[in-house]
Amino acid sequence: MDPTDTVQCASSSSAPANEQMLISVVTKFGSKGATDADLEKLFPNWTPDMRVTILNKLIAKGFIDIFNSGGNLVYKIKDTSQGAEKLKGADNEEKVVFKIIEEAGNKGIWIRDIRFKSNLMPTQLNKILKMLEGKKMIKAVKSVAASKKKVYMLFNVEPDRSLTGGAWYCDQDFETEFVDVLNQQCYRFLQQKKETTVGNKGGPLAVRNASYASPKQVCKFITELGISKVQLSEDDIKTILDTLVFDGKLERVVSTDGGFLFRAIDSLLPPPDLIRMPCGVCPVINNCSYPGKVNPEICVYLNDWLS
Amino acid sequence: MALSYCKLCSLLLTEHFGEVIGKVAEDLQWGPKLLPNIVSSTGLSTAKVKKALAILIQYGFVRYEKSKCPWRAEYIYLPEKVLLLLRYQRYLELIDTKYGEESRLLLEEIMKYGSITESSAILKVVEVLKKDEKSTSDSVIALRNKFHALITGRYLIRCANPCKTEADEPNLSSVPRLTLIEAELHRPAVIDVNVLCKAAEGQTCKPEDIGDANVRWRLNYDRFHQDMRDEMMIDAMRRRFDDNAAELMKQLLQLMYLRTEAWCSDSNPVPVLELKDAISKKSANAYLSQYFEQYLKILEEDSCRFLTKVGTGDVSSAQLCVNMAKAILQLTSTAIENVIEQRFGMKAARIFRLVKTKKFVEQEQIQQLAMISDKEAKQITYKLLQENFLQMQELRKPAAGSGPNKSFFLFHVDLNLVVHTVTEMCHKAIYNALIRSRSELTNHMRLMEKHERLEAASQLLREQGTEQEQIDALVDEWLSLPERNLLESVKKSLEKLKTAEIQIDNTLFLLQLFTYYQHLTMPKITSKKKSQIE
Ligand code: SF4
Repeated sequence: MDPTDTVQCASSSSAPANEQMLISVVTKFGSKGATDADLEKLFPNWTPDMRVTILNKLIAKGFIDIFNSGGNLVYKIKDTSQGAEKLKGADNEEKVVFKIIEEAGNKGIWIRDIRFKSNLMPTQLNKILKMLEGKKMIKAVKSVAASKKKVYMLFNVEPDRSLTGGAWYCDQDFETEFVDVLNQQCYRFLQQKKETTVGNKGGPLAVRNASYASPKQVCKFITELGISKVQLSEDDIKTILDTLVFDGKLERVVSTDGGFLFRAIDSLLPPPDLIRMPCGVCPVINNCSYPGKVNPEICVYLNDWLS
Repeated sequence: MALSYCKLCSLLLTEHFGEVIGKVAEDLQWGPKLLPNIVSSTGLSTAKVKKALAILIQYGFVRYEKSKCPWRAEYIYLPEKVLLLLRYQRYLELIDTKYGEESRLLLEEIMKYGSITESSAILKVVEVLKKDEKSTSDSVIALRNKFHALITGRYLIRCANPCKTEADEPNLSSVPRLTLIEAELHRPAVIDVNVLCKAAEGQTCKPEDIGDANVRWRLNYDRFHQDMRDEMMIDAMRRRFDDNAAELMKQLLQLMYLRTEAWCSDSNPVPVLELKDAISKKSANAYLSQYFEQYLKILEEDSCRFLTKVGTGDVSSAQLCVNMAKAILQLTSTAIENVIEQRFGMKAARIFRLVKTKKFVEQEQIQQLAMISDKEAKQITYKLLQENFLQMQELRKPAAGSGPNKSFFLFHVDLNLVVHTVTEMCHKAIYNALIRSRSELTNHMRLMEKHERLEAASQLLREQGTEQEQIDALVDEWLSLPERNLLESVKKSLEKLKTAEIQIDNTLFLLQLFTYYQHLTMPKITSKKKSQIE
């Protein structure tokens, strides 16, 4: 990922998450280091105070170093060998476990796999993991795919999207309402865009083209709307727009530059006539027969509908 | 034949033609039978069964054929024709808008009798007109022209007649063979108009004198269905784009019929230039003519794929094809998605579309792509699976021996099966509506009878010249207020149920079209052309 990409950041409430995010960002800047201005750009919704508090915490914990380059403050990640340094006094088993976890990268590794790789007894392994965790050298992360499965990774590594689920998850829970609201708003945006084209006399092609929007435009609209506490990327919005395509409300075409364009469309048919009668949506239609216990003569759905 | 389908057809027949006919038809639903077999299994008298069969044959609900022993006919039930009874209302409306009221009356007479000669249809309508005091001296001629218009419009078709010359066949069989020459299908019979006029004025004359005694006409359902199908496609265009696009579609369909048989799955190409000409000439729609090319482009590029352009290059050489089968496929999918949306909710429709687009997907992918929480996605998927809207395919991993991960499950959509499911639902819903109407009627039998008697009485009084106010006062006296309210509500219920039946039949129509095209495009049966002579 290009370090200048806007980083997704969780809401301010989760301080440790913020710390981790900051670490991962600073890591990406490498030996050059990140300036205050860089951080401000990447975390637009952090107040300066907040940023300073988090930085101070991290410096105190020894994860980040602060340097002065040409009058500017730059933050650099402390050499990762710090892990090794800390491990100096540790025994071989601990070193092996640490190595295994380090290799797993941002995907993490499951405790069972660590056991297989290290050939350690479960009790011993547990002890070691606890200790490493206590020293803030590794951390346990729950995966959204399997909520019971914990994976371990180095403390300063940002977990992969496949583990956190990206913007749609908050503490392993899928944010149904959030997604639904976004879904509605995206549709509203495109719907409005389409409505503005009505009465356009520039010919049907112009009308149609005016109703297209790229994910970028939609993303901008959603950001300006301010309904999301989380920064949403274009890809996130595209995922939402795709769900609308599956809802049959949008049409997707490939644009000339290879991206996708979306447009609100109307269904080809009015709601079918079958469902105008209660039987069309009846939950017990398979059990309904005449003569029988459930039958149209005494059916309450029909009673309601007819009266 | 599915049970719900059989039940529906027999019920329809019973409602329209009475118990006996319903019973005979029900007896035939298991397969062709000989007359004595019907008699013995229904327990009706031979005369009654014979009469019932004659009526059924006249309406085209049953046909007969030589059985294994050549001097005996066996009777074959055609339930799909029975179901069309629900659609008669639509046919009448269609003719009414296209040809006007008199044509509708003519059609109504043909429907009443199933099949009828031209002259008797005309005479009957003249009588109706006389009653309403609308008949004029030249109404016979006018009606005859209307009738011919219906024939040339192919809405009517000749019934087959028994072979006249038995000479070329060894006289083994006494079962008449029905034959019809293709050229005669839509050729009006020669009628002695003078005799007909006289008959219309009330003079008695022998049917032989009129000259069309053995030329009977019946409805050509395919033609009606063709119109209904076109209307549906045009409406779809209107919904998706605007009136101009609908107009373009309409003109295109008309041009298509010049060179393509109405029920092909794909049309033969129509030159774009010709379409352009037709539009600028026939429809005084300047906007459409001005932006003709653009409209063509957006129609062609739309995801519904009703048209395709063949031949590249400019307008002068390009040609257009109408993808009938694809269009119907699109419309059917849309209808089914709508049904799912209403039955199981928006998210279920999303999952259904998703699975349909992706062909084969795993549960996990469904959750990720549909953006629905894990639990809910599972719930919906399995609900759809249970109700037959989704299918599941198990794939075994070749290497894995045992354990929970040895196979994975893919979901997919088999539209044929889904259409089948929805068709069953439609049958059942219509059946339920019919049963309910019947029970409404029987529950309030006394009231209805009273109402009928009152109507008859007040009609009588009116004819005797009693003032309308007086009659109203009398009726008020006879019917108490609660009775009147009840009567109103029963009537409303019946009305509602009736509309529901007809509406559901609309859905059914689309599904039938789908099934037809599906059979047509299946490679094996392509040679089986839909013949117009059943
Ligand atoms: S009659 Fe009532 S119970 Fe039966 S299918 Fe219709 S709505 Fe359902």
